Amino acid sequence: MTKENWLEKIIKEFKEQNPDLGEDEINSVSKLVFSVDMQDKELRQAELTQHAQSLLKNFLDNDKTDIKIKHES
Amino acid sequence: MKVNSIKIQWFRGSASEVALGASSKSVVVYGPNGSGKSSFIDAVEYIIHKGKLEHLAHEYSGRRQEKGIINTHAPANVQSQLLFDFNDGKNLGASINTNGEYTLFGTNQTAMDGWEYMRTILRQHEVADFITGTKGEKYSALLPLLGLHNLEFIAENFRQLARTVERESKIANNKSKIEEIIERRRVKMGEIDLRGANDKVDALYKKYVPAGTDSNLADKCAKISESLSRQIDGLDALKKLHAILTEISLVSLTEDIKSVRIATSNLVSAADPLIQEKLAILQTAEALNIKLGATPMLNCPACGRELPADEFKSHIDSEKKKLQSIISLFGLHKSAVANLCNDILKVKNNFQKEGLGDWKKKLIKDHMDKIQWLTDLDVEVIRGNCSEENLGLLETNVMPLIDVAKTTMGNQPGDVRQLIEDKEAVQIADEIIEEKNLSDIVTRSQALMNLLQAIEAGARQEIRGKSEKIIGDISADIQKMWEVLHPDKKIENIRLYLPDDADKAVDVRLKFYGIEQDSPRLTLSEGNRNSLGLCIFLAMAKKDERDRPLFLDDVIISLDRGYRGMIADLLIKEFSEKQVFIFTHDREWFVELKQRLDATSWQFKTLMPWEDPSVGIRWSARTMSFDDARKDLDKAPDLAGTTARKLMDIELAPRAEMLKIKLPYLHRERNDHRVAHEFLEKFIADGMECFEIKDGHNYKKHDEAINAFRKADSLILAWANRATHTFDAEKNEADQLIKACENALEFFDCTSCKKSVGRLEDAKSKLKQCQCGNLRWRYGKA
Repeated sequence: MTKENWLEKIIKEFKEQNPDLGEDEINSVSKLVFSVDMQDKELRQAELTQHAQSLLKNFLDNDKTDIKIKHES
Repeated sequence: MKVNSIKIQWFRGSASEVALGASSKSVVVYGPNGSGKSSFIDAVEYIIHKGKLEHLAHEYSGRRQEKGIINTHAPANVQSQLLFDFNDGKNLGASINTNGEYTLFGTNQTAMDGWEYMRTILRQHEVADFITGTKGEKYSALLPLLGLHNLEFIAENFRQLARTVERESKIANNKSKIEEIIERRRVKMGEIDLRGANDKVDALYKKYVPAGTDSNLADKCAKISESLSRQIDGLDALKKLHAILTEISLVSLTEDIKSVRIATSNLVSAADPLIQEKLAILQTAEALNIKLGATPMLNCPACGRELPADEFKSHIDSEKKKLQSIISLFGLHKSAVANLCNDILKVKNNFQKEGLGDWKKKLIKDHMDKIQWLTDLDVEVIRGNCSEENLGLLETNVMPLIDVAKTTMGNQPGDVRQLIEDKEAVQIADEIIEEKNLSDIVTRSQALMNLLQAIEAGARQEIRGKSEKIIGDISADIQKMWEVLHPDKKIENIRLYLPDDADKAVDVRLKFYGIEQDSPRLTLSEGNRNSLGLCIFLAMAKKDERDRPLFLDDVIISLDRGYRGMIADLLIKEFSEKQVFIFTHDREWFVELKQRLDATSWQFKTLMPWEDPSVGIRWSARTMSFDDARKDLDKAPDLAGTTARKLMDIELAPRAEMLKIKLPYLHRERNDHRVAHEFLEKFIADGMECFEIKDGHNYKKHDEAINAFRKADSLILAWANRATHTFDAEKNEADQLIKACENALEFFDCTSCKKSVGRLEDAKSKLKQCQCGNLRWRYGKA
């Protein structure tokens, strides 16, 4: 299994378990896996925080959250 | 990359510069204990560990180990230095200041960057370290060989990223807020779900916004609140008073306090034993690592039960689950306290409203102290630490005020009460929206964390898959090397493996006389464990395809004597391409290696006994180590004579074997313990017929050698035996004996090609000769 294959398998399973999450959010994570930054060294806390905030921004987009609640209500 | 030389000055045991020249060959260095062998190994470690030596990591060595690294007698104006010359013409050095700070210099300062200590240097006391190390330490030792650094970085970075996301998304805080909202709703309205809240809001929307067209729950709530505020603001003074009092009277302080007490009680009953338990864990945790290393069984520090180390992990998991339930109880307690505080704030704020007017003035007469207490109360203090004393004070001071408000409101108009009740209902519906928002944030944050954790697990699975193949190859080499060292030991299927129940872990298993063993520590003797440790080190070193040397520091001393000889086989079979530095204080083994290893790729060097710090480390001009004997000439000539005789016993045995000298069989172990006289006697008898030296185009009898053998033999018989048995040898006698012995041994090597007379053998085994043919030992004439 190549590196890409193992990641693809995880992403596929994740999409099936989280159908309401869009491509953008998931792609933001999968791109990160093979960034040089992630493969080259153990990240420092400041770098981890930056990545975490960026991912959360994608995952917790306010508009998407509101749309979902409006739809349910 | 190979090493041409290692030079050290005023470093560890060295004084002025001393060089270990290798000319890219492998080297065997003999030196008695304390002669300075390890100083060269220390120089390698110094560069690898960036200015530190692990064996100097103690309180006396100074902050930068300067008290141990620098020769204590170094002159004030000189710097300690190391210098490595490599076969590509480049070099790498380090200058060390008196305070221990160092500076690298040279034409390739990164030359040794990839030299991991655990696969470059093996010291005597470290031979069994791999076997006795934890699974994590074994994994760390193997990781560079697996070439999976990038995946390991991905796994570790994603593990840390998931933790950072957990912190940044404030998941725990949001969960706590959700619990607060649910608890508040439960107290005010009982169990109500989103559908129930929707129905309630729809009814209020029709009542207060009859012409409204909003479809969204949040918009409906906003419109209802606006309408209610307008109506309350439009009330006359008396009704406004009624509205305030209604709001106070609707505060369910009794219920709030009861909830806090129940939550506190649950928390205390669960937390008390837990705290005791965690304290016990802290006290024993320090000893735990040692126990894990020494034995596969350990006592759980929490409950005392004896359990296998491997089970410990699952045991800890169950302990963590217990902790999770405590965290949940903490959350409920926090929610109950938050609701209580919010209600007290509501009472306090209402009591400060001007609309209470004369009613409040009248009340002050009877309840002045309570109103003052409420006015002075800092609610946030209770939110931070809600004690039973706080609850009692609330009951004493606030409850009566609410009761008075309730009594006053007893006969008041129902329409005002309805307005206030509807206001509270719409507030709760509003909170349901907030709860939904928070839930969505928690769900999405959790989803992100799950994905990050899945990627970490995927990377680890990938590492495992790839590692198994490489570890399998290394295991095969370990088994092969073991069989070379111990052809008679029934130990099979020695292998490294990745335990199923742990990441970043490797362990060793084997089959001992047909029975599977979980660890070599269960069955192998200390000597065999050391042998296996050496095989593992060498197998890992062999797997490393980069061309860099190995350094073995007195490692055979911990091996059974019977198996030391096999190491030469191992080096010849498996390490002919690698540069190996062997340091030993075992003279016999040194002589054996000198005879067996190919002189075209191996060098043999001897260190002189160390005398004092200002003299430092010195090489002997000879490789036969008679300097060991010479050092005793002045003070103990009898000991010098005895050492010379012992050296001859050791040096002559492999030469006799090499030249196929036939000696009569002696009974039992006497056959294996021949002495120099027996060999010399036979060398003289056979040599007179067989030992020849080139003379022009022909050969002549090597009479000079035979005479040297005779002289050595006669002095051994006369003085060496006397030195050994009657201890009365004189200095000049011992000196002559040493010279005669050295001289005799030198005749076995060619003065032209420097190779031994036994180096080459003709196809029909009729003669042996040196590389150039100047010396020969011709059979059939003896």
